[in-house]
Amino acid sequence: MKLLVVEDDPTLADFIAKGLRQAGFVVDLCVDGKDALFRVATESYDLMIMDRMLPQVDGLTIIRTLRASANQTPVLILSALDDVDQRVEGLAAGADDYLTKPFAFKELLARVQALLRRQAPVNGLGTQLQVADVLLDLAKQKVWVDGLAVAMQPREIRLLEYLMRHEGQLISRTMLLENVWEYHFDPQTNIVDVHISRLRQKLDKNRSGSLIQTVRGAGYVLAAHT
Amino acid sequence: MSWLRTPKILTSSSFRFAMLTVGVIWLSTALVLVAVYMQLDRAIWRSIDASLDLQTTELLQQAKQTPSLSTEELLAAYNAQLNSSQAIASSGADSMQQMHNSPAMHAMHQAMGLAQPPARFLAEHHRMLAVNGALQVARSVELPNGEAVELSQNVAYLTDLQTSLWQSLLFGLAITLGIALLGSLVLTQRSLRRIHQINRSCQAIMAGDLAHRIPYQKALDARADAKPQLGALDDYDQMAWHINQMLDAIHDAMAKVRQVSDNIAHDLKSPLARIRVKLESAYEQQPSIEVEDSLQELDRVLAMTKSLLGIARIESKTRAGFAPVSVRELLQDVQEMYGPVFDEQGIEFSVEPNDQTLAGDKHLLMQALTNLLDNAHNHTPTHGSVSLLATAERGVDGSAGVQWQIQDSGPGIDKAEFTKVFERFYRQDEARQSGGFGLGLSLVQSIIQLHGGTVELSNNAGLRVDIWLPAGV
Repeated sequence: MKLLVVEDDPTLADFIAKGLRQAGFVVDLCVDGKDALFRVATESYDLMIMDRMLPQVDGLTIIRTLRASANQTPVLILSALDDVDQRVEGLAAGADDYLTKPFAFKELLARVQALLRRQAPVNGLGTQLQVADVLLDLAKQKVWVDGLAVAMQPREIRLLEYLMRHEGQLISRTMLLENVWEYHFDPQTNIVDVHISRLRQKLDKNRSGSLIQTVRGAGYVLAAHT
Repeated sequence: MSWLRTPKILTSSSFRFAMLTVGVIWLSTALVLVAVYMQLDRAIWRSIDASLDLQTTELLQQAKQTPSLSTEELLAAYNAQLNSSQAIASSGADSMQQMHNSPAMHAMHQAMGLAQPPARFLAEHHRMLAVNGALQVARSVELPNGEAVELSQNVAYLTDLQTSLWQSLLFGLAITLGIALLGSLVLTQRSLRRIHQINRSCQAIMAGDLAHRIPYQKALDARADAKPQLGALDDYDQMAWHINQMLDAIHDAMAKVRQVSDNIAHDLKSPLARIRVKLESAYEQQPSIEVEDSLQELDRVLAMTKSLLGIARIESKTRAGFAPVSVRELLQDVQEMYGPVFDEQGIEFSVEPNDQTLAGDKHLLMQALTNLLDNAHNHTPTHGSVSLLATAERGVDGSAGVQWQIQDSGPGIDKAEFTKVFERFYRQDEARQSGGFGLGLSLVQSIIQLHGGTVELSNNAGLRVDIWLPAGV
């Protein structure tokens, strides 16, 4: 997997590149918008991480140029501009995700992986998801654990669906808030934790350990582990 | 016409002013006409008096010159000499004299108006007579031979004059009233149209179209920096020009605030972001409690910066990005999101949404509600209760609105603190340990104010927060 990081702050750029390389990605670095436009025109990337305020050509212009030339490479905006309006503006320009600075690297990595996974086809027929003994039927909105139907609220099903679609990946609390609840705000209490713990109770009845692992300070991973 | 469709024209101040002008014009016209009438009345009776005086003198002179004539002969000669329609002298005329002071005469006098002589005139031995239904004014004259004769003048024409005077008076007043009314309607309509135009422009700007400006009646110099000859403009264009200038200034100031906060966001966050990544890589290389604590501390600083910048941004925001928000959906999401949180704490949480819609930003409204619910959650003891209730409630100005009432069963807060808790970084002593920044309620207030609403606190077996927001899209 080859990624392009467009970031004018050298410290941040090096840190991101180093982290991504450790995670097994091939990373190209650009420090200004003009260079970035040249790179995307000449090479093909699996994903781009883009700052908004860049020298010469700003991030949104680059994304709009890409999309205008039918380039559908996923783009993650990484910007200090954190207002909801600015996020909406970024997504409207054609970006696929929006992460605000300062950020935790684990959060960035989780989002990068989620975006790359979105490109890959979902396992199974598309209407059913299965991880370990948990089966989710999206059409019927029903869940079975070990063959037994489990009653769930619509939002719990969406939460489970999101985790199952990103099986084995780290999912941050903010990602869950944005994608499952579709709200952009900062709750002071950890409402996501409470909902995850409810979901766990329903999934882990006859299980030692949990299907959903907590990664301290970062988020959750749903994984079948034997 | 537009003013016909607006019953508001009756309550508009320009129409009222115009009606006042109509009244004044009309009243002064009426006064002038009454003065003219009275002057005319006086002049007529003075001339009648003068002509009777003249006749008396002539009659007496004639009697003196020809004392040989009997009274009848004298009168016959005199009448022949005169134009008979003007004055009639008769002797005795007892039957006519009897009519004087009779009820029939009084009735006639009352109907006469202009034909009614002034009281002063009647006192000087004048009498009103009716001869064959024609009105006459009479004066008795004593001849040198001791006989009394009556000189009378025909004033029947005065009744006709009276009628036509009244007619033209009423006609004149009606015409004046008509012209004044029409003029005031036209003027009012013109000024109302301009005022409505200004109102509509202001509403458009409030609704978020910040580039909108009030149009001018007269084409102005298109150059934005050119100050027009204000003297050449009418009042409304002058007002529009000043409002537009003010809007430009506000617009510039808001753009500056936004620019500054964006710059702060960028210039402050970039170094913080670098510190964070350095700490993070240091922790990756060699995990230590110190670095972990520093990271947590830094995250707190970052969150605080974010909240502060968030409030500043919200305060400089407009309603441009607002969309219809269903109260039911929003509150159901809140219930679904916070139900389990309260449940874990053993707190009873109830939500009663209603079916109103308001124009707003659902993320910001959610942020406001969750800040309040977080507060309620932190201050309500186990087995307590928290409720969120939505009701339709009219605002102070009678406009439609929705009221959200958040009631907890915690200790409440001191009344003296009600205004202080909205100040930035204000925390009650007990809450200081609970880790907030004292920005939560400031943020709530700025969000609600952005939506044109109000936040009120009260103690009612716990803290009660009343949020009022204007309803409708």
